[in-house]
Amino acid sequence: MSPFDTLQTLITAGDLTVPGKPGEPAGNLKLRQEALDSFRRQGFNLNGREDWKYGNIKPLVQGRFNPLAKGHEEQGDLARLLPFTENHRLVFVNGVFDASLSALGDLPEGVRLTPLAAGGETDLGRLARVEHNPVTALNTAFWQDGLLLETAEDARLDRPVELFFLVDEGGNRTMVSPRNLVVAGARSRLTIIERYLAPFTESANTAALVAPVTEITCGEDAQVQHVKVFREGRGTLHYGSTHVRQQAGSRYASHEIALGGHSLRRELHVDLDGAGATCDLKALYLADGDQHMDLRTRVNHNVPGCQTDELYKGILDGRARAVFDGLIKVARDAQQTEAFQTNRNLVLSDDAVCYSIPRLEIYADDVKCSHGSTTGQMDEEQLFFLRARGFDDRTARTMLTMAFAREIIATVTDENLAAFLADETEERLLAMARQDFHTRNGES
Amino acid sequence: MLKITHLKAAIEGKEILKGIDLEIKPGEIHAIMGPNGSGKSTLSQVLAGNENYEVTGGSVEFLGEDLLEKDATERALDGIFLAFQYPVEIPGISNEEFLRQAVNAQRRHRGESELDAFDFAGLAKDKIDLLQLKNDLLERSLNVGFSGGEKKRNEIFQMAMLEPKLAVLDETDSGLDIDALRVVAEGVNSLRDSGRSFLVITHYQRLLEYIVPDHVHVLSAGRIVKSGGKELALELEEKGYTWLGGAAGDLATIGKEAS
Repeated sequence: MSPFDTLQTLITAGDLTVPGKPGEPAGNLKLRQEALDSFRRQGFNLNGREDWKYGNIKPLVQGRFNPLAKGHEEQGDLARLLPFTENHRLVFVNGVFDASLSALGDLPEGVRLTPLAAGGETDLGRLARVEHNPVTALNTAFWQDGLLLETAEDARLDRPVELFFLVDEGGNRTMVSPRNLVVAGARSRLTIIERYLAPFTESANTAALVAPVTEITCGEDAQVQHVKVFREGRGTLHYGSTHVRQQAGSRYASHEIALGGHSLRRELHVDLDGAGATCDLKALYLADGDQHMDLRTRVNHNVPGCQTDELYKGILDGRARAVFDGLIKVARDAQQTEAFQTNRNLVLSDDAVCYSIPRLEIYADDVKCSHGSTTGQMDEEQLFFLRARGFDDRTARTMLTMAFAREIIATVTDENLAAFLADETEERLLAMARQDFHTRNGES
Repeated sequence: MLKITHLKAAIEGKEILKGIDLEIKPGEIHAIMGPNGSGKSTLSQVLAGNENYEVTGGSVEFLGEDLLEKDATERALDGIFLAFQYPVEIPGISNEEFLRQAVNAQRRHRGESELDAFDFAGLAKDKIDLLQLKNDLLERSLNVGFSGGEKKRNEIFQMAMLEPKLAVLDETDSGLDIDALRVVAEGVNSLRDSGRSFLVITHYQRLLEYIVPDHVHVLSAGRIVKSGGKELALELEEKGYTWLGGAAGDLATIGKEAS
């Protein structure tokens, strides 16, 4: 067995054992073993599966990654990647918690915030099922560390919990498996920010597979804001998922901002299990070059009187591929459901392709639901208006593209993060415009 | 300032302008009137550089240079301003961001220093008041949620900020009630000076009571069929386009229906 075999060969053929840590609770070890067994049964047997249609399967099947990532030895200048904020910060490098880069800060009464690996026995794996998703199975078997956040009833976190998942040179050819567990008590309020960075993978011959799984339970009337920013380098594969269960009256607001990576797939599963729960799901994905971005959402309205408001927006350039596949399922009992789902894509080049699959499955008869999808080019009237006010074509296009993106960014409530995202997005769009300019002028 | 000679233009292969001749001198206000479909808006779009329209003949000189050689951006930077008949809405771009950048693009082009946010706000304040726009105008997205009248006043506000050499007002009066019309006219009149010219395109005579033109031209079926002084507009109001006979008469509707 070579560490440079594909994951599938490595795990199914090898005698690999799960990486139990000294003192790890028996429950966790059992979960790891079951997940490993599950993966051995499943493999990456994804071709022909509806939920992987248009997905990028090849990099998973053919990629050679060591699932036993070791963390990092040198701190290097990773600190420069971290913004100066007052947030509760946990930093993980190549999957492993780095105490020196982290700053947990003072915590209010009733809040437990710790790296998951130090968290003892937990309810891990209740929401993220391993049977049907081999990546989730791999994560559950091999997770290194991540966040454990538990809030008591009425606890309130005023500052966001900000997680940084960094991959440095030491993560080359590894599978990094962050695992996060959040249990928000009744009426508690919290904000989690997950940020993924892998600057070293900007060059093509370095690579890492980042495969995070996050589970969140929102207690009655709890309010959870959850922002995820994917800004890995072009050598990174990112295949991750979020699993949410909401109890009565709770509110879950999600932002997924995808700016980087070679191939990215995100799944978001939400179960609305208590009356009056609401979820607000937003995403912005920017893909150019050969990037492949695949965003999936599954919302189950299992009980009456819940609301979903979903808006996913994408900007595609170059030869990029993007997939939006959203399903809102309204159960027979889930009367008085309000569910709105919209996907909009702005396609800037002739070669970019977008697959948009908005779906509603409604079994109840007293509901208010709608879904819609638009995919199109820049609005010519708006473009001419800006040019007639003295903006050159490139600037006008960038302004309009930025405006399209801003609808999502403007709804991020953390001011620092919103400003950061606006800058990042603008930078990416300007780079896209330059690339486009060179291509048009035959320089590329 | 502007010299149009035998200008012909087509859209999707259909010729709309069939040989326009028009000369506007610095400081002059010219009005172009005409029935629907006569080519009024085509003329304004062609002057602003909309590439959906194909110039099939003739020439246009602006400040001694060949205007038709330049694209929409260059024309704007050279000092041509088009107040759109249907101003576009752009969610996600604020009036402030848009207009400050536009003003600074003009200033850079003229070799002047750029305005910072404070200079800009100071300059904008008076003009917002003049056009009776709301104080939160600058923070709001461009024309999003604006009433028809607000959109038109916003066009004139932009004109006031950009200080063009030639302003083309394309049916700026359409959809305006009498109060809004006065406000718009006041905005335009405040910008009149010996170095700035206006081309006011309108269906109705009413606007010309407030913005008094030096010359009035009647456009019909792609040609200027009659030119005269400001009294021509009144005459048209009285007698209708049928009075001109021929092609103009066939299409005649004059603005009695204006509210």
